[in-house]
Amino acid sequence: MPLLQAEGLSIAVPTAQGPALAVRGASFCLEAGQTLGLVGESGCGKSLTALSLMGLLPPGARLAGGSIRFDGRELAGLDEPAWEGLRGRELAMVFQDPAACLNPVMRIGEQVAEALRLHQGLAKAAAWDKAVGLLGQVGIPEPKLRASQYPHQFSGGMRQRAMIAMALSCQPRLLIADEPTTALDVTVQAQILDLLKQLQKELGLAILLITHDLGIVARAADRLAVMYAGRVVEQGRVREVLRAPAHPYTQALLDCLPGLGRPLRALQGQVPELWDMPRGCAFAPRCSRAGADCLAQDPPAQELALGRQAACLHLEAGHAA
Amino acid sequence: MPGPALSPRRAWLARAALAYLAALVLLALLAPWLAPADPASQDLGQILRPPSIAHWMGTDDLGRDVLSRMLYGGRVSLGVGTLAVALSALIGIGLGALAGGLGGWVDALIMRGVDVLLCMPTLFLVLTLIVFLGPGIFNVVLVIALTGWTDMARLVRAEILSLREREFALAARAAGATPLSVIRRHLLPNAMGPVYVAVTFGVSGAILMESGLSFLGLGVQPPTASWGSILSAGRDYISNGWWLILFPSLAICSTMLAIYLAGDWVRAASDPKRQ
Repeated sequence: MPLLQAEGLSIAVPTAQGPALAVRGASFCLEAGQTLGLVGESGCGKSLTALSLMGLLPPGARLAGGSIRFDGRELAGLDEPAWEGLRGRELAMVFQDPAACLNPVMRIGEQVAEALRLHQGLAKAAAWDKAVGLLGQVGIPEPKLRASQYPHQFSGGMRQRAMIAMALSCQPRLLIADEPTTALDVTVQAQILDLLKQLQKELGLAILLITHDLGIVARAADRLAVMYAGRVVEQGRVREVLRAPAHPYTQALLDCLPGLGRPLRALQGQVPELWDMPRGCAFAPRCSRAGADCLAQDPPAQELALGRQAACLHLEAGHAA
Repeated sequence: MPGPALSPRRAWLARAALAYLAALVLLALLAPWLAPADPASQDLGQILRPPSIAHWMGTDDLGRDVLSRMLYGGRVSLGVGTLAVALSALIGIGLGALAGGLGGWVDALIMRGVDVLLCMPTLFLVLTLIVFLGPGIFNVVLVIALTGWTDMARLVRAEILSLREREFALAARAAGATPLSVIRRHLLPNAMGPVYVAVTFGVSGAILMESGLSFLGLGVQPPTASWGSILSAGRDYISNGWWLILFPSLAICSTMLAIYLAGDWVRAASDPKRQ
């Protein structure tokens, strides 16, 4: 049984035109010890999906349907105290901008120690010592000195390492990393991804890696789920999906990556507005393969092979339902 | 938000101001040993004498030594100022943080209460309460605190409202912190910079308010002295007793100025980026 299984996840958000579904029946699963890359362009609902897994949807947004099973336990509809017991202990999250996620007037060590004190009831001194150890574990040199410094004395990569130390302090089983390297330099990106991989191996951690960068997914993820306009349009093992995408949107994403010896092809058109979703496939208006049937019906996800799914009526060549 | 660092000149001024305030506090505390005379003892043969060797700040209309009254008056003025502001900061920070951090009906309830207090002129409110409670030092403290917390609450709420949208509040929640502990441990410490400044201004405002109330006869009651009451009693003799106006006015003004300058220093010192 997978550690995390989201089924038909729907999230409603308020818009100027009234409530609309920003995530529409997304399904994906993640095994313990594995990394699932959740890919999509801005506004496709991947961050909302992540927040819903932490029970931290922004005010106004709510879970409109579906189920989230974590280790056999249903998370949808949990009350606040139950969430507080899970957050930081079983589920942890690392955010995009480590500069914004650290409290500017609190010493790094105290911030790492906070979750330890909250969840493990450690005394101040013990939590501090453990925090220093964690900082060392995520590769921060001179952790003793660094623990007593403030976030502004850290570089971007060091801050993200500190965030990771905070997230992993209570040995959660699922780490949600929402664009963990977007705010960092390319060289630091690679270091952070390597660190996550190494910690995953040491701790048996499952990682949900949210990104818009297929390069990062190719490097760091085992499985890949591609989101478009609130739906998971394709998922499968990273290598298979990237080598032979089944959904035209995945193909279009790959086409607009720069590569040697072939022209860049931009994806025409725009993502439909939330309150103006087409009745059929949301990608149809931009899709080169779309036919009349695509406008009439939102294609269901089809199982192409074991663990490989795509939601399209006109799959790319080489794929058959 | 980190403010600008103090220029060396401002830092020097701030240090001088702090030293001055410390000296004032010391003088007030040591008044019983420093004062040359009993502040209430009258010498009707020595009425309205200008400053001299015997009476450095002259004597008042009842022949009391003005220097002694200034020293004892400093106790009342500074004490009332700090106590009132400490009390109003406690109320204001607490309610403002709850309103901003929790939002919803808590916010609505607290802020409508603030609006009601704010739509009445402060002086009117203060006078009404004083009439209701009766004059006296502790009632003055109470009244200043009860009418002065609204500004602090609005300030803290506004700070917290913007801070709680920052990602570190979300990150703290993601680590399992409850909304109340996020307010206490993450939001409030970040909101304190402007609060320190507001507190220092509040002290000067409270000293001024106490002086005003004593001036109107609703503050401390004779024969107890405060800077305001000395000024108030002296105003009848402004044409032939300048020292009765000058010294208390100077004390009040210089204290205001020193507090203002020191406030800058407090703000800079409380910002970890300046350490």
